Amino acid sequence: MRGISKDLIFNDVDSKQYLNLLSALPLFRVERGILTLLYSERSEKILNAIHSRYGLWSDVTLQFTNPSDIAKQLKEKESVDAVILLEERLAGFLLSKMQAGYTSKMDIINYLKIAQETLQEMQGKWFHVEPLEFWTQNVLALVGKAQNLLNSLPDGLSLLVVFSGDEIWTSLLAQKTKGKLTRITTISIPEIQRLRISDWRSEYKQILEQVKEKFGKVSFGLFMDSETFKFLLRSNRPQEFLQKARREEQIIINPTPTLFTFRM
Amino acid sequence: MHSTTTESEAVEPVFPTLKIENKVLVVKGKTLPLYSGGFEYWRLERQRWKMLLERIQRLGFRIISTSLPWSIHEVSPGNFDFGTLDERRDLDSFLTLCNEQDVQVLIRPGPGINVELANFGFPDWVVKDPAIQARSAQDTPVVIPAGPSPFPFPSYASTKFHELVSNYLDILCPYLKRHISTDGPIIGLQIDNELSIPFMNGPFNADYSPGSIRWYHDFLQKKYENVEMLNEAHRTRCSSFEQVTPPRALIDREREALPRYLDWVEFQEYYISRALNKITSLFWVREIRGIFTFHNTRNATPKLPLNVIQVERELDIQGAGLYLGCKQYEQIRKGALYLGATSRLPFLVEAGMGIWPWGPPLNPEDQQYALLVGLMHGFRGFNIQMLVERDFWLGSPISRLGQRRDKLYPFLNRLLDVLETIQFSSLSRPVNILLLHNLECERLQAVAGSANYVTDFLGIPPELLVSENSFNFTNTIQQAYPTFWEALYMGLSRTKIPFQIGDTNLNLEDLSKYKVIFLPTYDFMSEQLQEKILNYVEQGGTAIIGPEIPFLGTDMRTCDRISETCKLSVQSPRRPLIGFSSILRIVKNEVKVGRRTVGMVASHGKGKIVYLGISFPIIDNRGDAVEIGEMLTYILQYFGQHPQGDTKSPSVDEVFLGIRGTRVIFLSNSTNQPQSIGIQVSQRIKFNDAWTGEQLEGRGSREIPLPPYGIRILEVRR
Repeated sequence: MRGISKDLIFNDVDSKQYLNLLSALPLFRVERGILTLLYSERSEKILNAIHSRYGLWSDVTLQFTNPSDIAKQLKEKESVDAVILLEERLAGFLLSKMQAGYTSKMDIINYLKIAQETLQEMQGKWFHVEPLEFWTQNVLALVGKAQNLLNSLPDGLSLLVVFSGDEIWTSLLAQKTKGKLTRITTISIPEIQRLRISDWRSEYKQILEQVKEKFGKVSFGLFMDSETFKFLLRSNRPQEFLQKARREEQIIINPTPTLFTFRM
Repeated sequence: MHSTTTESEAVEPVFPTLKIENKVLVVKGKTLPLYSGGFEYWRLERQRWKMLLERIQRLGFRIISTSLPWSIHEVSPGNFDFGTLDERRDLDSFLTLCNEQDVQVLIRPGPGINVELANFGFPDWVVKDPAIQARSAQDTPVVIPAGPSPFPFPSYASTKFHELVSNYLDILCPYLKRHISTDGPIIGLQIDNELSIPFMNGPFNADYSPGSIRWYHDFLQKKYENVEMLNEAHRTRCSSFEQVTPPRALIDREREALPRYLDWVEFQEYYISRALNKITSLFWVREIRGIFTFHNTRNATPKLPLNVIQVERELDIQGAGLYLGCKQYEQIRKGALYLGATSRLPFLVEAGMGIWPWGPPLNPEDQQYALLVGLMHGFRGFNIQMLVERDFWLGSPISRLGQRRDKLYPFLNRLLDVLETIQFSSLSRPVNILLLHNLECERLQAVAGSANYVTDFLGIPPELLVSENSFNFTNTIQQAYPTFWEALYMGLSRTKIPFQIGDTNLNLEDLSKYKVIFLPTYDFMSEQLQEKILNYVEQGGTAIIGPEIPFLGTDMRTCDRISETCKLSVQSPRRPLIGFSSILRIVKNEVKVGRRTVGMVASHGKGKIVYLGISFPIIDNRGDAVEIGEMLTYILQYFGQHPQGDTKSPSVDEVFLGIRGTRVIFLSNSTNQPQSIGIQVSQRIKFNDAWTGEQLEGRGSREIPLPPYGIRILEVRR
């Protein structure tokens, strides 16, 4: 099975570069206003509510109707980014499905996919999100994107470098062996860290050389600036976005692996 | 150091040079401050060990902690590597080097240790063995959703698991034993790690394996002595304990059905303690003794099913973890106040510096502030997780090449200097007030929770995931209790009268150290707990209870020891007390709001019991706790307790520490805005900022600025 090796090595990671990467992921934008409600289908009550910024939230005075309608009304009324409604039995159901679906060959992404599929199955029944895109494009999409990205990477070394101003904003170097991810790091090589970038479109080759010297030949290299990277992460159609960006020279792919199909 | 009670041989420690006295570690008669840093020899280049240890010493640490993962040293069943295959695994050389370098060591050999390893350091063949796996209520393995691979958690009640752990320890312990002597270097042993993990998904997640069910029967037998008493409580007709089956989901809605659920949840506390006892005894019989033992949890405040007092009957210290930031001031403070009252030595086993790759990003300022808040409010020792960076960790104070990180390294360097200067580890804080967690109500909370028992589930807060069924109680206790407790906590914080946090498992002797205790009470309370509260009052304490007076035991049959003894009667209805606090008064043994009686004061022995028949709305910050703060100030002053310090600002705390008389004052600002506090300076009393060296002299009031999320430590000079 493809995925992540149990013996994955994750070291020599530059914390600043790594935190930049995390901060770009939608999941880690913690300042969003999300209202989460627990409701009981049996007693037709909202049992509890919590606001992601303000904590326990006792102002839910809506008449209990259809949970989807409640989600829509609250989204409008409270001006929050998203409203999530969970039926009281959902958590237990979800966890039992995940544990029942576990096999010893699963990596964490495959395991989370069981949760993803269960939540999709329960969407509109015990699980309601308004707007739906909040879920599909953020939390839900992240698992799918991570798996697609993992599957897309060729064996060998893959390198992502994102530039901002005259420095490397974030980078990732991933080693894949026999279809499994075996190592993750950033390119914290002193020679590279000392580089002052004036034109990354030409200077990226120096980085490739340094990486080759320390880690070996790169099979797939992807270079871009931080703005393009953030657009890419938010894109619904990353493959098309990448193709267009490549045509417009907003990104550089070098080397390009054979039979490369990049899906996110 | 602490002898195990049920599974071990009764033998004296081999090297009895260590003890814990008054929350301080004493080695060979001298106080040893418990400040340590994580260093994983098996993940770091052997050639760099000496250089890194020297760097750690230059930083100011004398103690390191290190994990010894099972899967690293037992590479395949029965095949061990202690440096033959991989020189970094040469444990003996590493400990010898520590001794040569005069570095003392806390060892963390598991069997489960996490440290971001696949299977938390359990070998693959162990977790894959169905005879070892913990089982869920649906009879599936209990899967831990950890990266890079989720894995089935072992059952600590499995005989086969104990056999395999024993086989590993047979090989490991001789290495350890030769490094335990009066000259060290090993001084502490962590027994497993975060052992509440398998219960994380809810009270009905684990452990339904055959071994665990046997332990459940043992627990019931200990609790009830004979099956008739169990049948009476559970409303069953079992002919033996072995016939009892544990609940697998909450399906009943009447309170009479609750005892068997409450027992299942209480059993999980027993399970953890017994598992820790078992593991401790496996070391003990292999002569790993004479050093102190500890256990960890991920949260700043240990939560059920991890029962601190019960765990500390099996080993020396139940510690805590600290992975919080500036905005979690109250969470950190609660943990410090709680372990400050309940633990032998309040120890942050993992004070996070740097982070694992998938954690919520915390910046160095968050981590520095969190550690200072923890120390200010009660923790007396800490271990930096991780002091030296390694695989699956980033942002440590020292890189694996020995480079100093520009914020955390100088911070720790200064901190250790300051702690030594003020003799922090030997400072104490006189406190007369105790706010108690009612563990019996918290067990009901667990029973009525649909998930999220131990740790966050998908980031959804646990209070969200409780059923609204009232079980025919006067209140929906699982919702009302945490609201009431939190309001008391916030209100007490407003009073500026020092308090600590405890729980109902504290024994009478420990309770009696406090002059006033607050205990949220509802319809049910075990007879033993009712007796303990009455004994506490009889000996001269003041117990403040409410909003209900218990009239049932935990078997949900009539038990009204408190109300009968003290002639208390429920005042109804219990309305939210907001808008009335300024006129709450105690008049002739009645608690009155205006003309309305909302409670009463009864005498018993040398003490008083105060019943407050009131409730509070949701108050989850100090800003909203003005009225309850005023009310509690009035009540506490009525019973002779008075505010300390110079500020009334809700977001500024002052903590006075000293051996005899105040020697050090900690000041904190828990907001993102600058604050200040006026302090009286005179010719007789001067202050010195222990961090900056600034002298505060002269006469009259001096405004001391407190930066946003800032802590200042003032030495008092008389």
